[in-house]
Formats: sequence, structure tokens, C-alpha cells
Amino acid sequence: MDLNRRQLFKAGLGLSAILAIAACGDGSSSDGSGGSPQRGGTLRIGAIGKSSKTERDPHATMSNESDFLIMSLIYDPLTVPGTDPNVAPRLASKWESDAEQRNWTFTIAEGATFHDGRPVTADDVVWSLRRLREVAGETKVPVSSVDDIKPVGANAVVLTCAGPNSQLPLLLRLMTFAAPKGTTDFTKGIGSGPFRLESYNNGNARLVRNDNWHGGAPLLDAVEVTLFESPESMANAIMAGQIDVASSVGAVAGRTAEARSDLQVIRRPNDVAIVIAMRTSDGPFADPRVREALRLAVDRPAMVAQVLSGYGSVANDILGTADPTFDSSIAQRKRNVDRAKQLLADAKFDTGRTYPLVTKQEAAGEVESAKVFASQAKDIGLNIEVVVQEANAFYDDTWLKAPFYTVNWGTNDSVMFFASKVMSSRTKWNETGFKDAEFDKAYADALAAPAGAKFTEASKAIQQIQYDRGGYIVWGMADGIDVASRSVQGLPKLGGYGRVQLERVWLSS
Amino acid sequence: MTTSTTSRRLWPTVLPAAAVVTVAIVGPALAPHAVDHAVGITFEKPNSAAWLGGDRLGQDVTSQLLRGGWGLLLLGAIIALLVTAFAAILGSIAALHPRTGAWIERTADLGMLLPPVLAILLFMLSWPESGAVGLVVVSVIAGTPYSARVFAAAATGVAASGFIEAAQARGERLSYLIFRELLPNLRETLLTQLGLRFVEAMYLVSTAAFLQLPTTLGDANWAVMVRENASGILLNPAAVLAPSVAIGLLAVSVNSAVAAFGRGRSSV
Repeated sequence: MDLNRRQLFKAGLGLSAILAIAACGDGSSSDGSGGSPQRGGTLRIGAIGKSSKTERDPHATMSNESDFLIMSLIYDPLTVPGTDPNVAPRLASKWESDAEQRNWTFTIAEGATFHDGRPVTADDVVWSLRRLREVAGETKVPVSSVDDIKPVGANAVVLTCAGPNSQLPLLLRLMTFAAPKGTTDFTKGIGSGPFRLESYNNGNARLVRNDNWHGGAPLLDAVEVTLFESPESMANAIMAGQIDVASSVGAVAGRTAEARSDLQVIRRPNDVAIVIAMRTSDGPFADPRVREALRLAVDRPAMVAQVLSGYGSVANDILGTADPTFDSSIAQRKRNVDRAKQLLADAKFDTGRTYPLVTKQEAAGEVESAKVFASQAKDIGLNIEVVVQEANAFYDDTWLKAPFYTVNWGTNDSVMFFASKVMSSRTKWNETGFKDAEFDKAYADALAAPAGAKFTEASKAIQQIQYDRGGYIVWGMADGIDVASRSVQGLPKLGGYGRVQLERVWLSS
Repeated sequence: MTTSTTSRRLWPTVLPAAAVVTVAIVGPALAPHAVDHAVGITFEKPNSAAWLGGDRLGQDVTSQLLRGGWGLLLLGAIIALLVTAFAAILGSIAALHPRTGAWIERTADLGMLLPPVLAILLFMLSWPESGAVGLVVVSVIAGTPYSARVFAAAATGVAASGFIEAAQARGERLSYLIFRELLPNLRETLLTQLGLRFVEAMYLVSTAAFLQLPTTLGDANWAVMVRENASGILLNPAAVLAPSVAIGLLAVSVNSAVAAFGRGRSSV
């Protein structure tokens, strides 16, 4: 942008805000544009949820974004998402492992206290982690049993994994909320986070600043979280000025807000992956040539335009696009109808049949992605019927079982996260029935390697296998779209669950 | 009244209906693209390549509009014809046989209390396989009672006239009485009812499609377009307004055309 001084003076705040958004290159939150950070004010933020599904227990599975937002502000997890590295300290100020990457020691941050004034001790953290392990299982705390979580002295805990696991700090991000040992009544919301719970009403909450927070007191006086049942109602609220921030409000609202000078649109890249899963172990897509053909059938830029309103980026069939070790040297797959037809013919694929692609209304654009893909696949002679299932029925009957369905994931800054959750042959959530000896070896190598060249090499091997013969069509990544009033500064910019980090937000008058 | 003035009065009311119906019927042949033809991003603004812009999947609204009318029109017409036919017969029976008529009218009064949209919801959600046939059946059941009352009221006057009594005395069958004696004298009522029933049927079919009840109308029909594209009304108003206007035009113009035929000749 070529500007002289006078233009800059004339443009004033509106332009500086645009510049600030344009300048958002890295760091986890946008640079303030309204001058130096100010203290005070109440932030009214809207988040999606269903009042019938509200959850007060920080260790239970949360289906509401609004609940997750409230929990993340009143409780501290051990670690949180970062940009690079993608794990940042929170309640744990530092962590280290033995050479084998099996025993991990987390040191509790200096000065961490609960909202009732008691210091956070190793016993509290061990109790919380054990409770989480019992309630949520190994997916949240990847250790074999609760006995593998032990205190070390007054301010450290040690976790012992079943095997080498270089990814433990990453896997403990955000969900590992610490509560005082022996808590039975979670409605008081006694945590050690940057805000304390003042009132709670049916999914809506008012939180006030915790002046004693070990990370340094936030600037906001209070945060009011309002639950919205639908993105449309939240969009209406932000347009009418009833809230200051609409979190994950979607592309249509974002585009509508672009035309308004009093609103800013924050795009958080690599927020949600909406991907198509093809079963690799059996069924019509077991032949890697068929999967390759389907990947070549996708017109990725058109998908991003039609499904995501252009608020997203083209992806390359590899999950974990925001990983610091993401291999951008692998050539971008592009649409090639002739080659795809040839591959289907080589594989003797039956194009006379109609293949059901099962989807559900979960992530924004999920059903749409299935429909657009189905119309694109006609060009290679593949007939797809899009079947929209009710979400519960989908998880009971289709997920992990059907040969062809859509899934969405909201954490895209780690290749290893996906490798461990959905692709290693031993995982419970193997969505594509993927069992690949070479992949498992690369995965084991990555688990045993500390961060560095060896780990990067193993991570790239994992990505190459996914690209060549994995079960996913990763056509693009949706940006997370928040709409906020111009006065809100320092909003989170990370994709996925990084959106809940509001402790550094401030309001310019 | 001469035929020339009649036809001159008929044309302005019939022409819009003829135009809309023609577009709905031959639209699929006129459509520039398939319904899933991509024109750009979600809710693409109207431009020279896509006159009405894009829908929520960035697909051509013009093509969908041209392809999305005949289903509604066909279902609406079938329902209107069936309701009018049943109601005319029931109403005539009620007028000719006062004792049976009392029962018919009581039953009709009861039937009128049932809200048709509720009936459709109940029926279609508990038996989704029924599809369009189910929608027609429920709409006919829900629409007939009221219409039958109207016919009964209109037919009572005619039934009391001398030529009906003469025919009854001749020992003519009931069907002869209804179709040869009564209904030809209720032309205006018949046509007015047909028009009204068509509007009502359009409303029911649109509601069912709008509520995404399982009908076999396909993906692109006007009612579904209104529903699906409502979220982008600020980005591309055409995606919502065009199908809404089309539904309104179809219902109103067909109704006024049919009514005009009914008024065309003062017969009675």
C-alpha cells in the first residue's frame, strides 16, 4: 500500500484498523489499532450453543461452544495453542521429558491461585487430570491409567505414557482444566483462570476480572457470554449492536459485515477442516487409484468459493495444515478430469452405481460441501447421492463404519494430532479404516523423536503417505470468522480452539 | 353481452397466468444451465453471466428458477382439481338429500377445525415415504370440507328449482342429477372454487417444501429456494425475491384467470 503522510492522517481510525487487520501476520492476537491498551469495559460476546445441552462440569464432554468459552476463561488448562511452536504454556509454565519421551514433568506456574485464594498445588492438578482421565478417557489424557499421573513435590506433576509420546503437551491443550482437589459442586466455577464467574444463567454467564491471575490481570473488567442457538440469530445481534463480538458467526455474516464501517471482520485461518472420508480397508474406495481419482475430481478453488464464500484456503489432502512442520513442498493437487477417469477405468470402478455420501448439519458448510462435491464428481462419471443424516444417527450408524461420509475437525495445527486420533492403526477413531505399516512406523518415529530435525522428517513422511494414499479428501480449510465492533482490540487470531483466548482483549473508547 | 367484449375483458386477466404457467412448464428447457451450475462464490451478485446471481452454494439462481416451478404448479393443480371435484360432488349430494346433507355438513364442520399445515406435518413426519402422493392426499382431505360447505350452500338454491324436481320425479340416477343438472348450473362457483383451491394448494405445497418435508419435488423448487437462500438476503436479494415473486405471481394470476372465466358469462 502506497500512502503519503497526509493521506494517513486523513484516513484516521478506519484505515488504521484496516492496516491492523492486514498486518495480522503472526502472533496469536491482532495488534491493537486504537493506540495503547486501555483497562476497563465489559465485553459482550456471543457464542453458539444449545440451552438444552449446557454443561457445568469442566471435565465433561462439551458440545456447546459457549460453555467451552466460559470454561476456558475461568479454568486454566496445562497448555494452550500457540502459533509456532503450536503449544504455549498456561497453568504449566514449563515441561520436560526424559530421553525416551515417556515421562513428562509439568511445572505449575509461579503464583497460580484459585479464585478462592488457595494456591494451585500439584495435588489439585493430579486430582483434576485423574478425574478428566476417568470421565473422558484416554483421548483427553493419553495415559494408560490414573496411576500414571503423579505429583512431584508441591508444584510439579509427572505423566507417564504407555510408550514414547513426544506429543503429550500438545494433546493436553485446553481440556485439562484444573479445579481444587475434591470439588463436587462445579456451579461455583472455582478455577484459576483470568476471569472469575460472577453469575450463570442457562448458558449465559457474566465473568469478572481476576486481578490475581498468575499470567497478569486482564484489561477487561468483565466478559458477558451470551448463548445463541443459531449463527443467524447471532449475526442479527451483532448487526444490531447487542453484542460486541460474534464468535464463529460464519462467512455469510462476515460478508454482510464487510459493508459496515462500524464492524470488523476477523478471519482466523485453518479453523475448521471439512473433509470427505473414504474407507480404505474395504468397499468401493479400497483401491488407492479410486481415491486418487476422487481427489483429482475436486475443483478445490470452486469448493472454497461455493462452500466457504471464499473465506478459506485450498488444501492438499493433508490434515493439520497449520502445523509448523507442514510440508508445503508437496505439489498442490489440482483438478484433472481425464486422469481421474483413466484411474477409475484402470481400477475397474463401477460407475453404473450410485454411491451415497453421508453428511450431517454440523459444521457450517458441511452439507454444502457434500452437495458441491457431488455435482463436481459427475464430471468423472461418478454418481453420488448426498444423504443428510441427523447428527446423532450419523454418529451411531455412519461414523467409523460407512465407506463414504463427511467429517469436520476444529483443530488443524498439528499433523500428529490427526495421525494419533484418526489414522494410526491402533486408534479407536479410525474414520477411514486406515491401516498402513509404513504410516505406523513414521508415526512411531515421530512419537519417539524430540522436536527437531528427526521429528520434522517423520512428520513429513506421515504427510507424504496421507497425500499419496490416505483416506481423506482435504479440499480446503475454512477460516474461522468472527465479527466484532471496531472498538474491540486484541482478539484471538488462531484457528480452531484458539478462538477462546480472550484474556488479552481490550476495548478502545 | 357479446363474445368479443367478453374476450376483451378476459385477456388482461388470463395473459399473466398463461405467461407464468408457460414459464413454469417450459422453463426446464429454457434454463441456461443445470441446477447445480456454479457461477462463483456463495450468494454471488447478479451479473451478465448470471442474471439473478448465485444461491447459497454459488449456483445459478436463474436456472433453478426456471426449473423449479413445474413441480409446485403440477402438485397445486392436482390438489385444486381433486378438492374441487370431491367438494362439488359432496356439496351436491348434501343439497339433493337433506338428511345425508346434515351428516355431510356436520362432518365438514369438524374437518374444518383441523389446521391443514398441522395435518401435513403430522402425516409427513410419521410416514415420510408417502412423498408427494401423501402430500396430495392430506391436502385434499384438509381442503375438501370447507369447499364442500360452499358447494352445498350454492347448490341448495339450484336443487330446489323445478327442473331438478322434474328430473328426480323421472327417476334419474344421482350421478345424472349431479353432473347433468346441478353442476352445469354452478359453473361460476366451480371455477371460483377451483381458483381459490389452487391458491390454497400452492400455499400448502410451498409450506411443505419450505419446511423441507420429504416430497419428491426435487432440490430446486421455488419454496425451497426461498428457505435456503434466506440467510443471504442482504448479499444477493434476488436469490430470495425471485422465487417468492414467482410463487405469488403463479398463485394470484392463476386464481384471477380462473375467476375471470367464471364471470365470463352470466349464465344463471
